[in-house]
Amino acid sequence: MTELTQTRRGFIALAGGSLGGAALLSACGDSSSANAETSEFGSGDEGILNYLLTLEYTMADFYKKLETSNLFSEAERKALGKFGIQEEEHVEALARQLKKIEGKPVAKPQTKFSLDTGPGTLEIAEKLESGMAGAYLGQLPNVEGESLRQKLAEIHTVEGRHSAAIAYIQQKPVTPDGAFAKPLNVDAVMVKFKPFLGSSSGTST
Amino acid sequence: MTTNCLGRRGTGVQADAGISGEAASELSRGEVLLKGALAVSAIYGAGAVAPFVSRALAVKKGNDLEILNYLLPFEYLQVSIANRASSEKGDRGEPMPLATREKEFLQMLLKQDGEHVEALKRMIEEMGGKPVKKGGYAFDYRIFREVLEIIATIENASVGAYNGTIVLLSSNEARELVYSMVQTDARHATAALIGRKEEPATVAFDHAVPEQDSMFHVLPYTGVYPKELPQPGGES
Repeated sequence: MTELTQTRRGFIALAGGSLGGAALLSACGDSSSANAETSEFGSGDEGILNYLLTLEYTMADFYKKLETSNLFSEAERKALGKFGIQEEEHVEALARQLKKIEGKPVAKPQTKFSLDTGPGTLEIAEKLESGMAGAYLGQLPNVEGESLRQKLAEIHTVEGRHSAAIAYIQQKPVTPDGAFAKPLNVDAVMVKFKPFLGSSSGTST
Repeated sequence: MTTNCLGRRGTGVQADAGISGEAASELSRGEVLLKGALAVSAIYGAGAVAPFVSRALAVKKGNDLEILNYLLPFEYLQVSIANRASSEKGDRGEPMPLATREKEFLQMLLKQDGEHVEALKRMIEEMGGKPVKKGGYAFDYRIFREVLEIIATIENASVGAYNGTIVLLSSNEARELVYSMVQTDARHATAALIGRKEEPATVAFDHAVPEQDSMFHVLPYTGVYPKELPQPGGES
């Protein structure tokens, strides 16, 4: 079976194919513990928001590039493009929250994605989406503002859905951490994102 | 009162419990919940509603024990449907053979949602409380696709319920626990939805769902069916 065939089968699953057993088995995930170290992006809630905004910008950009690639069929691109639209909504929501607390939004980072193959692109998607879900889970306990915490919680589970959906089409476990999703600290998340970020990440406008 | 049950499958209920938006604005949240629950109980039977409602009414900021006890039945329901369907029997005891991958999916839910139940119970006990007991639940299904629909409905309702109440928890430990659980429930919902050829994430935000609305979505499974419809296990 070619890599492309495997990818296509994955998309068929996303569009409603049968449940893949391998994708539904649990496995151990990253055991990193979360911390509040977002000072690179600002202090307190502003730092947390700018950290997450950097990640959301990256995700939105990734899906934009994926949509313009020729790696997937139109239907496939549409399915993944919807996730991209949702990431853009997250960007807007985080920017609004920053404005609310009179914070200074981080500059949109430069990204560098080389999307050469379908499976390779899905690998990137999986790495980033699992990083997103772990990043929100890692920061939620550190958020001081109650309404902000509520908003981030509402994004957090959607990132979990994205991550699970990508894992599903790859026939990987949809709950890689088992019953309890594990938070990721900033370092663990940035290990996943750094290869795709240019030099301007973390710079305020 | 207008109530719209989406078929006897009971996987989705939208109920206007006789409270107009204008009237609701003049009522306290507790009163709205109570009125809504009473309206539902007229259809489903008071016994099905009481345990959920008593907890939901007590959901207030900082009332951690009641919040956790309000969330616990959602996990009970998740375990219950996975357990029933794993028996490879439909709701009337008729054979419902499952493919290996389907069994594996149900076993995964059974294990992970079972761990959620145990974790919530433990947390409640550690806080000096008493976990609410598991109720009697009823599910209406014949084939695996219908099981997936029930799972998706319960897991999605759970996500809304969690997101609606976690922010009210005062204990950091409890908050961290349930945040990690709600992400897993969202992942379960995703797998069930994709299995049904439905979109796994229709909106960008899993909004907080008020207790009354969360309850409405799962009440059809709490043991009592509308009187005019056949009972599970009975004659059709």
